[in-house]
Amino acid sequence: MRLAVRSLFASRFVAVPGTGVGLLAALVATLTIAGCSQSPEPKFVFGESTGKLYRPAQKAVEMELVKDFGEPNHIVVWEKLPVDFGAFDGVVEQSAANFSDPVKVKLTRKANSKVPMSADDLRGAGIIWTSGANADATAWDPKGREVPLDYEVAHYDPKESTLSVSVWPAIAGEKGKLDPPKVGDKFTVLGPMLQQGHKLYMTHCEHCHGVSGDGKGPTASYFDIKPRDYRLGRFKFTSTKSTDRATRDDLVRTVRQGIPGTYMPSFLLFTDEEIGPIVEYVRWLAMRGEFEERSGAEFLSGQFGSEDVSQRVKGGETRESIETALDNYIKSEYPGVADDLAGRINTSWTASEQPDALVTPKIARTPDTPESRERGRKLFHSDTAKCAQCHGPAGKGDGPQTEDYQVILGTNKKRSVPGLFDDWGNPIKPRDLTSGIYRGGRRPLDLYRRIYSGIKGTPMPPFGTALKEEEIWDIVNYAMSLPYGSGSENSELRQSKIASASPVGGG
Amino acid sequence: MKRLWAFFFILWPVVAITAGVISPSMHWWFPGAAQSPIGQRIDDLFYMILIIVTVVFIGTQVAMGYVLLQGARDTDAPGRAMFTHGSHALEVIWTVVPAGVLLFIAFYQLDTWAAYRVKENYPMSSRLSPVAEITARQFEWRIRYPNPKRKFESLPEVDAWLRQPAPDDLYAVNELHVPTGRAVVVHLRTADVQHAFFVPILRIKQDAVPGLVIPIIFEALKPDAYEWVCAELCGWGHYKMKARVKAEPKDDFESYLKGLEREQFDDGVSGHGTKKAAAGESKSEAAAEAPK
Amino acid sequence: MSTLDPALGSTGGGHAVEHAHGHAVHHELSFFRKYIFSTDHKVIGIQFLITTMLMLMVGGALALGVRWQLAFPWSDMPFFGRLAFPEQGGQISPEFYTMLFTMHASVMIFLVIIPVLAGAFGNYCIPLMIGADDMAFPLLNALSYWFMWPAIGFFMASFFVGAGGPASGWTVYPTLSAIKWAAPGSGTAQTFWLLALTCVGFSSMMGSVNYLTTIINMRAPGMTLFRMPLTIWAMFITAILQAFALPVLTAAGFMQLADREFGTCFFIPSGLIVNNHAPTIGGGQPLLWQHLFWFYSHPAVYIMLLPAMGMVSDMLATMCRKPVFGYKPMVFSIAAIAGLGFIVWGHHMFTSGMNPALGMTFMVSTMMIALPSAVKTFNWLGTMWGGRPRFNTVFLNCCGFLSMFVVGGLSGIFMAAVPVDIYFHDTYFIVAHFHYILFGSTLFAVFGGITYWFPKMFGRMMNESVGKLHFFLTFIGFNGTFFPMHMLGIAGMPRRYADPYIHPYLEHLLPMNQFMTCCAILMGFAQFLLLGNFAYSIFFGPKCGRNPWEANTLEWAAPTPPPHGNFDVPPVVYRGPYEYSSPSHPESDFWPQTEPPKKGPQQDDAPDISHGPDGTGPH
Repeated sequence: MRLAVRSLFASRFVAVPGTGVGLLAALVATLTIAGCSQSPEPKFVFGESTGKLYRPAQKAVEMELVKDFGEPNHIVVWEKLPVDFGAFDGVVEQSAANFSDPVKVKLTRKANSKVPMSADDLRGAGIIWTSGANADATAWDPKGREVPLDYEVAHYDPKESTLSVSVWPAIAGEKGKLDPPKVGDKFTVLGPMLQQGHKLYMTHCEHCHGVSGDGKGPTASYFDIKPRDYRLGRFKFTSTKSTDRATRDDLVRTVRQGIPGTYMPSFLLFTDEEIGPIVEYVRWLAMRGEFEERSGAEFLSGQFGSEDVSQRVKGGETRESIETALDNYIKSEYPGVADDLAGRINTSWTASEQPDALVTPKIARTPDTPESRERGRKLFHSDTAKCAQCHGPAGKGDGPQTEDYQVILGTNKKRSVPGLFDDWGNPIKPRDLTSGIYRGGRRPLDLYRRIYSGIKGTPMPPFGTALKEEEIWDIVNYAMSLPYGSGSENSELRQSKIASASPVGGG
Repeated sequence: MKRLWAFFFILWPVVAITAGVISPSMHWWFPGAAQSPIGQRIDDLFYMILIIVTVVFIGTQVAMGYVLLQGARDTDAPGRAMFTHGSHALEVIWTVVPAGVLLFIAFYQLDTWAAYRVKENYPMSSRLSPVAEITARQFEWRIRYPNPKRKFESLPEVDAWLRQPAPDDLYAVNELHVPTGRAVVVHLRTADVQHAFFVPILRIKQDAVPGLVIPIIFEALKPDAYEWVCAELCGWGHYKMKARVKAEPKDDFESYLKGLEREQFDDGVSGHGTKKAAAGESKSEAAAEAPK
Repeated sequence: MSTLDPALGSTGGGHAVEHAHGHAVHHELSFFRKYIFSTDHKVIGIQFLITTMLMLMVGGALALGVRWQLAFPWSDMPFFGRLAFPEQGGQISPEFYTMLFTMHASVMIFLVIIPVLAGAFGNYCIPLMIGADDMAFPLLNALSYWFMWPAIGFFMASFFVGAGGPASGWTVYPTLSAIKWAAPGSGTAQTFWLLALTCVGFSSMMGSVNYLTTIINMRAPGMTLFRMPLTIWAMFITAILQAFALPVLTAAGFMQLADREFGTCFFIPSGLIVNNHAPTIGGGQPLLWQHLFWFYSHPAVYIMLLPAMGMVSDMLATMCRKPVFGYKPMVFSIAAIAGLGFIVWGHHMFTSGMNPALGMTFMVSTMMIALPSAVKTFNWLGTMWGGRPRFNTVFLNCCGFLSMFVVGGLSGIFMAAVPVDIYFHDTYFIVAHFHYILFGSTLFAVFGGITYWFPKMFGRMMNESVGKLHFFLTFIGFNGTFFPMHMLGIAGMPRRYADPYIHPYLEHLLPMNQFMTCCAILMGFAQFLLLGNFAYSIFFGPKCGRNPWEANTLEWAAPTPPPHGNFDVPPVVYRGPYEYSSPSHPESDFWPQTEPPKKGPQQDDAPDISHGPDGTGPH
């Protein structure tokens, strides 16, 4: 045995260089893999229109966005937005000795909110003190400027009901002072809704819809039909009037039912606790995009785009004078503009949730008879509705408009490529109505809504004012017969069989 | 040192068997008892094979451990290794016996396979009342039910229905309802690439092959919701095809289909037969679609 | 005529004299011709070995990416995440995951396991073990190695052609693979994959032709078929498998290439709407691909196993100082596995919708193929029984092989049972099974083989302690990673899922997956020990003589390392390869094949010299 140990040791001694070479290689590999930098964080990107601004204007918009919306892992709660941030009311039940100690609290959800409440969900959520010493606390940054404080949940223990609070930015310098929370201090916890929505979004949606909701996730480049870019604030398949936004229910419906014929799958099995936060997060991304777009538009209207500035410089203005004017605008006027934009976003999104924004037919669907379909067919080809212009004479989506050179919206220039385009700049084909695939839903009500309000963001116009309700129903009956009529793959089915198909309540 | 190695090779099978023994209680096991007759037969076959395999595993590892311990003991012993080129008798024994066991396992299972996959063995009543046609696509399951009023009189009629959607067909996505209490036939197809219909608790799986329409027969014994996933790589969303088979008594199944029909032909005014037509309409629609 | 002139090779008459004198006549070759573009089977074998060891690390890195995603879904993935997805904070995309497992399998199968067994060990060992001076076609041999590099090039390039790499699994089932817009990885990347496969096919085919010819024609005098070591039998039968199965895969690969590039529809039926393109015109059948692919790929898995089995028999006999138990049954079992291997391919397709009658026939044949494997397992146990084993790295790796092979073989029985396979198909149970065979069995045999033949290749020994440590860590890491996969399969966890935990019935499996990932990382890093040991020992390992293991087979009779031409004394074979501890040979417990018999009455092991008709004798 001793001999064996000796020889083992001896060979181990020799082993060192061999092991050493191996371990060295392993070390090199580990360093390569781990990298020398910190873990990267996802970041929001800025839109193309922001990129068109003159540099200081661009920076102003970017900074405003970071201030009002934050970054994906650090969401800012901007209460001006019509978003359910998932607030909790909180009250301190036991004073703490130091600011950083966990403090016993009682948290209550606001009515109807389905916000989840676990330790993970609340981590990083914002806190606003509504009473107590911390309610108006400010601090001084290293440069001696007074700054407001952003309180956050550092850790929440649901069992013990204790909360640890952290503050951002971290205080430095003698002038900073943090009072520990005392019994009876009231506060509101904000934002776990969006935190949860963000987590779910990154798991389920980000790889197509992008970190910023721009429809440019890694997978999106392989799609023929691009994922929705939320940043115009427009969604195609809604239940509201043509000038209104999508409602929460519309987005829930889209997520649950999917969009047949595209790569947007049905997430039917999402629970309410999952789908609420996701939809809220998507709305928030849409609002961020809208805000950015309109901010950019404001600067552009003041001639602060980079092309405009070049023109102005050519026209004789000095760069300094432009920059001074811009600086003044940013300091004095832009904050008000930003507020105003937020207000307008708030109004439009809130109005869309009201009952009068909903499109509901006033009369029941005309019975689905051959006569109704014939009337629908005539309207389809008529000059009032002009359906055949895009959808083609047989409804196959091959109408003359698909071969015309369309005019670019907002200009009077024609495109260089024939065919129709949507508001996001992608080529789009009119629906082949013989396929039996209805992206926004296959109920008669859904088709009614597509015709009444059009499809937002696409060349499908609203016909709510141009057509009477009976006419719309006739067109709906005609369209729904197309997959089974002659000219489709289903042409073997006889007309009489179609006539006996039962609509609601029918025999 | 050598004995340590011998024990190493004895220890690891012990750890493996222990892991196997504690697995059911740790839920690293079937996701529940099989809830279909074929599933129960599959489980029985599984356990039969498991017993045979465990016996062989223990036997082989014990033999190996014995041989290693003997080797560790004898490696410095005087004399030489046993000089033998083999044993004819042993070769015969350990050829014939495993062959018998393997052939037994093989032939014992043929019935179960035939019941599941040979469609001539399906009860005619089930074949004449297919519950649904399931079209798998990237990355969801689109379901088409025949209208409850439709009665198929012959197999060619069923084939015709499979080829041509009818205007009164009912459509759903990602949630398949089936009645309990009878063998149910669904027809599986795909719109784009290969997928596979896999319901773990029912123990059934069938690939969806482009260009083919494949019947699957199963019976759900208990009313419940069973998880349904895709089991053939179909692209980046292969893991996302999360769906559900909802088995319910016949009456509930029929009222589900009726509800589906009402929704599908809802015109926003007379839908659902309730007064919620106008303002609350979209909310109740969402509620009706929400998972129960 | 110089034997070193590649244009002549070593066939053709009149070279017997030069061959017998080894390097009696030679001119100095440049470094390039000696070590890079050599036609010497030993150099080529070592080239294969080093290349495959590097590819092992590439394939392993891809596997660690897979394991990371399963342990920490959608988190910041080291290396891959930082490199390819910085804007997403290192979070990979789902199609990237599909590429990871596709390329892990493709690299491991086509660039590691098949080349290391046939290319590295086959090349190195065959001529030496049968007493030949080189392969029958040395230039073809060199080409077989160099065709690996375009394959490697195509595989590596496929990562960079836009979509991140081929992503329809290594089984590339149409229509996911055949329709270019069906998946991100089915664009140019998939075409590159098919081209790489073609190159690997050329390489394998050249190798197989070479090995068959060499083994049939160039055995030393006295080396009858039943005096060949089992390594050679295994290589021989594997080469037959390659020759018959590979053309089917190559043809199928061309058909898929044609479907993708030239608009044919071998595998594409009509009426499919993929990614909103116009419906396919079609007329083809996806199942056809499956039949053609598995017709090759099932024999391929035996190609990836049989040489390892042969090598283990030789190594066990040497280390236990005992003859192989049941040599002829072992040979017949190898042949039976190979033969049956051609009629079981449908067991990969039980749930595919093929005719159910085929399910029945394939089940029976698949069950039967377990039989020769069982026979071999018992015979290995018999080989070790009553031996005087040397518990060194080689022996331990062989024991690892045996132990793991039992698990892999037994788990196969579940899947051979068709009704049970209905449940297990495309779950982790399958993944567990084939990893136990390909890694647990084959790769451990390769590790043993590297240690065993290293002294012959380089004239030095590898370090024992590092070798044992490598075995120990790899064994533990391997079992920790793959044994739980059986349980995951029983729990119904499907394969190829980027995020199984969105399904409630799989949520509770996350901790186990994390444990498995830790074991996988341990196992991955343990391989650096092997690489370090290998690299260091080439230059600084302790020197050794011709036959450090005191083995019988012919390669140990050659000088160490063997020069060009291999043998200084032309070998003549007098007995079988496994005469260890023979009572007829009291001088030592091993009796080399080339040792002439003692003077005395005519014995059974007189040389059996067969001459060709022109009297030139076997080469």
